[in-house]
Amino acid sequence: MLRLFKLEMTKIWSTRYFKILGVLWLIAFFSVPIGTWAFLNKMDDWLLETSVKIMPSQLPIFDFVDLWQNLTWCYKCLTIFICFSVMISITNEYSYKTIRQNVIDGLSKRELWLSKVTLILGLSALATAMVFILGLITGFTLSPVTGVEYIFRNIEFLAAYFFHVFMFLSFCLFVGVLIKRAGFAIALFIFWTYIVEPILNLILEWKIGDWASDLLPMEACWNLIRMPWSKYALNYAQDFVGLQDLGIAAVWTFIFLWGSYRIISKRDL
Amino acid sequence: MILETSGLTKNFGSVKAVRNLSLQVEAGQVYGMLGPNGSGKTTTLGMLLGVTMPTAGEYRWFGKPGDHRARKRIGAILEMPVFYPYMTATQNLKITAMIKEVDESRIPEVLELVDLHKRADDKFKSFSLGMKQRLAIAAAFLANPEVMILDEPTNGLDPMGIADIRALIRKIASMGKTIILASHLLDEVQKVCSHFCVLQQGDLIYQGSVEDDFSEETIITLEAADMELLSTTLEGLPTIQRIVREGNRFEATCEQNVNAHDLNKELGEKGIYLSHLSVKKRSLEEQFLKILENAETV
Repeated sequence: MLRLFKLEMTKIWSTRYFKILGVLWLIAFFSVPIGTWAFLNKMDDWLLETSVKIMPSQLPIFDFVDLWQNLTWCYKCLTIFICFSVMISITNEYSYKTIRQNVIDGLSKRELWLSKVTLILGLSALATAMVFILGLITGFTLSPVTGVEYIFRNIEFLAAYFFHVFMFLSFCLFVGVLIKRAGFAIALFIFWTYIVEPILNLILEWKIGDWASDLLPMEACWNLIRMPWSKYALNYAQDFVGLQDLGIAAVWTFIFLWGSYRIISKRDL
Repeated sequence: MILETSGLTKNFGSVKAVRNLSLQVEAGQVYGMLGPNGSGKTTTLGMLLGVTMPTAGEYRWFGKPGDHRARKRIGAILEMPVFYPYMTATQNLKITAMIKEVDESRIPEVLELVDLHKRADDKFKSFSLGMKQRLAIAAAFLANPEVMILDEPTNGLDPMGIADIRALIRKIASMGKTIILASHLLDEVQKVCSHFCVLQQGDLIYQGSVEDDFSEETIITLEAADMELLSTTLEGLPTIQRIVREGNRFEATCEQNVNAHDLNKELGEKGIYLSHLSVKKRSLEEQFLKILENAETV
C-alpha cells in the first residue's frame, strides 16, 4: 500500500496542474475564514446604518461546537479543486499510455487501481487534516469558549468531511477511468453535477419526495454535511451527521470504487 | 523454457488478430517475431505482457502461468517508448524502479549503458525519438531482467539511431539475456536474431532458426554441351549442395565460399567446358518469400 502511495505521489508531485490546483486550493482554503470574517464585519457596518439591530459578527459562526459544521460545510465547496487533480491524474495515465507501461513493468491491474485509491485516500486525509488544523486556529482565535469538551463536540463533521471528499474523489476516479480523456471527463462531470442532477433532483422531489432526490450521488455526497445556516435565522438546522445520509453515500462510494476496479481489470489497455 | 504459449487467440469483434498461437522461446535465444504491420505481433506481445486479455489460450513465463510477478522479471517496450513527459529521465526511471521493486542505485549505470547519462536531468518531452527509444531500453534493462521484449525498436529512427539500437541489442544479447524482438524488417531479424517465427494475419506460419533458414547461399548457373556428364560430375563435388535443372541450365546451390574460378578449373580438368557460368547470392527476401510460399502450400 505504502509503495503504491509513494508511486502516486512521485507521479503527481512534479506535475504543473497539481501545483497550480494546489495553490488555488490553498488560496481558497485560507480565504474562507478570513473572507467570512471580513464579510460579517462589513455587514455589521452596513446594518448599523439601518434600523436592523443585529451584529452578524457576533453570530457564533466560528465558535466551537458550531464551528466544525460551519467550516466543513464551507470547505465542501472547495472539493472541486482537489477533484480536478484526481481526474487529470487518471486520464493522463490513459493519454500518455503510462497506465499500459505500468502494467507491462509489473504492476497488476489490482495494484494499479489500489494506487489510485491510495491517492484519493491520501488527498482526502490531507484536506481533512488541513481543515482540522485551520479549525483549531480559527476556534482558538475567535471562539469565546475553548475547553476540550467544546473543541471536540461535533467533531464528527470532520469525519463526515473526510467521507465527503473521499466519495467525491471516488466519483472522479470512476468518471476518469470510464472516459479516459481529461477534457471529456471533466465536461461529463460538470454536466452531470450542475445540469443532469439538479434537473433529476427537481423532478424526483416534485414527483416522489425528498427521500428520492437524496438518493442521487452528488446530492448524497453533499448531504453528508447539511446546511447549518438556517439555525441562525430559523433556530433550526440538522446539526448532526444523518445515518441514512451516511448509508446512501457509502453505497455510492462502493459503486464508484467497485465500478472503476471492474473497468480497469476487464478492459484492454 | 522461458516462454511457452498454447492456443493463444485474440479477437477484436469479428477481427481475428491472433489465431491459436503456440510458441516456445528458450533461454538465451534472440527470438524474432517477423510479420508485416497488422499481422498480430503487438497483440501477441500485449497478451504476454498482461495488457490485452486473451480471448482463448494461455501462456507461461518461466514455467508458470504469466502474471505481474513474472512481468517484473521482464523488461519490455511495446510500440512507442512511454514515459511521463513532464518528468526527467531519472525521475521516470525511479517510477520504473518502484514498480519493479528494485533498487534505484542502478539508474546511473543503465543511463550510461544507453549513453543518456548527460541528459539524466532533462525532461522526457525534450528528447528526440532516438533518445526516447534508448531511455525505454534503459528502463527495460533497469531491473536486470532475464528477458527483454522489444517491439519494432528501430521504427521511425534515422540510420544512425537504427545502428545504435541494433548495437545495443547485440550488446545486451551478448550478456546472455533472452530477447524477443518483433519487427517487420526481415533484415533486422536476420542481423540480430538467432531464432524467429513468422506471423501473417494472426497465424503462425513458420518457426525456425535464423542460421538454418537464412544462411547466405551462393547459386551458380551452369550450361555445357554434355549436360548429363555435367550433372553427374556436379553431384560428385562435395561443395555442391543441391542441383536443380532450370530449362537448359543447372542451378547449383553451393557453400558460401565457393568461387567460380575454382569450379571452372575443376570441371575443365574433368573435360567439361562450360558454355555458361554465372554466380549470384540468393537474397534474404527470396529466401523469405520461399518460406512464405511453402507455408501457404502446407
